[in-house]
Amino acid sequence: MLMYVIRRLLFCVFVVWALATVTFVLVHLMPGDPVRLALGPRAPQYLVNAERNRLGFDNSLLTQYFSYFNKLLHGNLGTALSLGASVTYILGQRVIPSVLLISYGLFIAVLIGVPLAIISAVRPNGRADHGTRLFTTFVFGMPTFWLGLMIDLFFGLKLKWFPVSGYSSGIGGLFRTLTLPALTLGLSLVVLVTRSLRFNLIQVLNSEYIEAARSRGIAEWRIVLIHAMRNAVMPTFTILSAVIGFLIGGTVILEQVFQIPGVGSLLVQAVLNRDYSLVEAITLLAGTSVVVASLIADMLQAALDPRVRLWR
Amino acid sequence: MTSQMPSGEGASVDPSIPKRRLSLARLRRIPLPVRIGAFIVGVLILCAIFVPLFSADPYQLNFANILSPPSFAHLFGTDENGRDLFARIFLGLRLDLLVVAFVTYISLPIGLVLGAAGAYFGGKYDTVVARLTDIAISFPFIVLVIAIIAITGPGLKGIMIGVPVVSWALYARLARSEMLVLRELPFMEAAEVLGFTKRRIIFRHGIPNLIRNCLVYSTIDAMGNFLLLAGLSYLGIGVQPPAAELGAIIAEGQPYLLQAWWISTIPGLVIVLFGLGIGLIGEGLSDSGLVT
Repeated sequence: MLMYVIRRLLFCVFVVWALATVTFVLVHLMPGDPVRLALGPRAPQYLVNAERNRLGFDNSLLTQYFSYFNKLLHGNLGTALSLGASVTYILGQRVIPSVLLISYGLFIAVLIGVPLAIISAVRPNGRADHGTRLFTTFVFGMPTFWLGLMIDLFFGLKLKWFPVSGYSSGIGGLFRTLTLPALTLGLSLVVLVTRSLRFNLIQVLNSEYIEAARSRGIAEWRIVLIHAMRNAVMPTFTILSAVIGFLIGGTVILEQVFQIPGVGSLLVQAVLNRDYSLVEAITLLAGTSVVVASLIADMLQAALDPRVRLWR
Repeated sequence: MTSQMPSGEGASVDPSIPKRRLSLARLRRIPLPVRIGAFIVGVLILCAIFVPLFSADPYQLNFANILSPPSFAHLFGTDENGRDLFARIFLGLRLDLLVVAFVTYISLPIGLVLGAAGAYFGGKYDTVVARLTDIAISFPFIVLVIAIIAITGPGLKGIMIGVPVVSWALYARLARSEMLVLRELPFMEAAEVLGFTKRRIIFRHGIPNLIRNCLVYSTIDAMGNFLLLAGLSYLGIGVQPPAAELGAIIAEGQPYLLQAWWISTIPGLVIVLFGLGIGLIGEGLSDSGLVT
């Protein structure tokens, strides 16, 4: 067990290192001077030179590489030139809305997806099953930004239930501003939940212990909801927890539609301002969250399901 | 996957056996959802090819006729600059499909060959391929593509570089896992005993038997790439104006959502329709057991 965890942790570190190196190389290979960009075309040359010197752009690539990692290990992600503040500080502010949006979206996905999966698995190829599958196939090809716009058009502009875009804190403010984006995110994740849960539930319902439970005369709803679900939810759970990692930064487009000040919209801003240290930092954050989420997913699965043995 | 027994049906890779002809009876055996899906996708592809050849000029501005609703003169209406949306949408679809086909079908052969060769040779080479695959799959896909766009500047270049950098890995993983099984089958051993070169064994006997799953997966992958391309163009960091692209048209129509619903709605519906077609094909194929 311990050996397995250590091996996985080493792999995580390796992935993050590879990602950091790739972004570092890409950023430093590109033409143009980030300092010149940050200070504007009218800044005097001596100021640009001084700033370049201060930020260490004049050193050799290898020196910069080592100093970059040295800073990284001390938790220093550098300065966001376009915003004139430390990257760590800006990221800290931007992570919270993203995380809230993702958790709310996951909640909605489970809320819609699980009942759909159950009604379609109870009678495979029945009418409800066909309807559900048509629905998920339909949503599968929907661009999230377009779905967001349509939801916005309907609930925001026509019914005026929720504000069209924006973000405000506090419980009430969060509910008002995050419901529509979370609904959009949730709907796009429903496909994932319903498909995997339906598949596993059908398999479990065909197994012998369910047959045994039926012959003992246990009510059908109890069999499905308690006996079968326990075994069927695990794979879905694993998939979802692994997906969370990809959602940090992966909600770029959605955040832009609804103007939520999260990590994703920060990324777009950073790209348009050519703020490379910010882009580097967000890429690293996203990569770390992907590997950490998949690590946690595996660990949880092993902890909750005694049949899973990751180490042998 | 068709099982390859030394006797019986005969290996489909054997060149001496004539290819089965495409007949109506065989076509009927294709599940209905797949046929419907293929029809939808086919019609959209034909539209993308032919509509821009015959339609109005998609770049022609006409300020006397802005934001006009769908009519016989302009089937999908006009946008805020009076450009004909029917022409723009199908020109955009053409661009999207070309880019998507490029990024998807450049990743597929790379991953396929790397994965199949890795599993066939085993040992150190396989370990390297497997680790690289794991790493590439752990990269945050969208964020990495955007990061590459940050460097190349807004436009198609970033997408064309960024997508293949990551998406070869999924094909490599698929091909590798299948090749590990295939390698042990009798016909592969026979090929080895016959003294065929390794290249011939991998390309003529291995890959034809494992390409099918990769091809089916590639339809879903292509849809994902389509959504990514449209999404990035929507953000303004993909295809640049005045070029027509579905995501970009949706973004252009956003300020006019209330006065002119058709600008943003119709291109979205085209994407949804395409996705529906792809989804039906994928779902139908995996249901019918044609692919594992």
